[in-house]
Amino acid sequence: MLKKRLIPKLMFKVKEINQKKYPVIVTTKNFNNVKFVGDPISQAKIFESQLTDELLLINMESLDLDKNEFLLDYYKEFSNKIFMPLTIGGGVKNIESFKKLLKNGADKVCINTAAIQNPNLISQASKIFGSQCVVVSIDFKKIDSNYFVFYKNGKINSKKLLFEWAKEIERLGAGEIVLTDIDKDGISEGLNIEVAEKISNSSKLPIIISGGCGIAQHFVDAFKNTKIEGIAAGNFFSFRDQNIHQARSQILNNGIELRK
Amino acid sequence: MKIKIVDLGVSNINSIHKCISFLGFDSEVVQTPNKLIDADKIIFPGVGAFSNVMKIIEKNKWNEVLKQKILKEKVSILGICLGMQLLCKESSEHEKKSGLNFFDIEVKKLSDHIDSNKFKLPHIGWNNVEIKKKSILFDGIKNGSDFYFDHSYGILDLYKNIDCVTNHQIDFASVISYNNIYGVQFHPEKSLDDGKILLKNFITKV
Repeated sequence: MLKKRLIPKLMFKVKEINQKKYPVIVTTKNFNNVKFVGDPISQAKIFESQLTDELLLINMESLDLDKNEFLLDYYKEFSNKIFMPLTIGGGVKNIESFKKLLKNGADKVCINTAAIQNPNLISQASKIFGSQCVVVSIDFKKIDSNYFVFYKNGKINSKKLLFEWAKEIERLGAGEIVLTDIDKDGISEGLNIEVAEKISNSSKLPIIISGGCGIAQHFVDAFKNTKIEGIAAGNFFSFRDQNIHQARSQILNNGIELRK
Repeated sequence: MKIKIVDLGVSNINSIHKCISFLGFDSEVVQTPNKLIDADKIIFPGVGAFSNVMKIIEKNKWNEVLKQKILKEKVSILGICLGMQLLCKESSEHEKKSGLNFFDIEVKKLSDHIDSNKFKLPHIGWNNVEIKKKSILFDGIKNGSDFYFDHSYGILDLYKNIDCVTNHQIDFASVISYNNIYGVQFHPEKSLDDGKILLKNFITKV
């Protein structure tokens, strides 16, 4: 039986220390209040030993891969040290970006803004690399009674309706969807179960949700009430090492299967 | 022993290369077929779309060298994920396309056979591998162990060359073998300890 997945989300920004550029993990609140919390590789080592299932590594500033070769070297170094399944996102513009990331250690590539600006990239990439390689991330926000899709790191409202965009992504050939509720990001009060339920019931694709994990029970609530395949979390996994163990045991105690 | 990893330029080769060096073996990533000529073991990884990758294989004449090495010289090959599927007869991914035909098996689109409203597709994540036939690749690995999968196509005809199966509403082949030819649908290089045991078995015991 396919297991549910716990996916640490490593969002990073680049910091210059002694004239050398280093990616540093950050946590956010509603996509703002950026806090620098640590080194992605050493953090990923911990996640690897704690039986998490995959990693999501996101270049939050969407630095251009063509102009920032050091990032590709960094990804390569990352994947040389971490043997877990790895999805990389941020700054992906075109097929060439996919090639560069896959060549330097990504197993899957995550796109967000590029998918909004050029939806055909989804179908092009899935024809070349296979749909299992194309992960589309959707950041959304509720305005009045509708959910809208935001892009450019949650700054711009695309005016696309969330549920329609999720359908469209599936039609274009994406392999997976990662949903993040901007208003719940970093708040620790629980995931958006309503959206997770609606999209995971109507989509044939694996759905990963993110934004709002604060206690282990939030994972159980989401897995029990929806058909999502995984939960991604940044803050919750990054701040306390015991959080993953607690979340795993509570999920398993509720009869939900995880990898052994 | 010369272990060669075939790089067709469309997938993550780095992980498998690093995983093998982690196990204490040297391997070489090769981008041209002539570099396979002195190989003692071939690893054939792959992510990508079947027909697109087959076109690359045919264009660069990988198929001729592979046939020579595998069928004539009996060098062992391990196909991983799409690499396993490419060893089969044909696939209907995007357009019907012939494979390398080392296995007389067809690769099928999972969504034509699985109710993806209930069992989401692509099949991504950790799933159990059930051993059906004793396989040297699984020496020291418990029946039912979890491996990491990431695919939309698979082998659904389970009447020959099947060593292990995995279930996602229906059973599909997760390990196939025939003489010196091996294929795994999952990613051993991403499957932590059990994946490393499997790769080591392929390198040292096959």
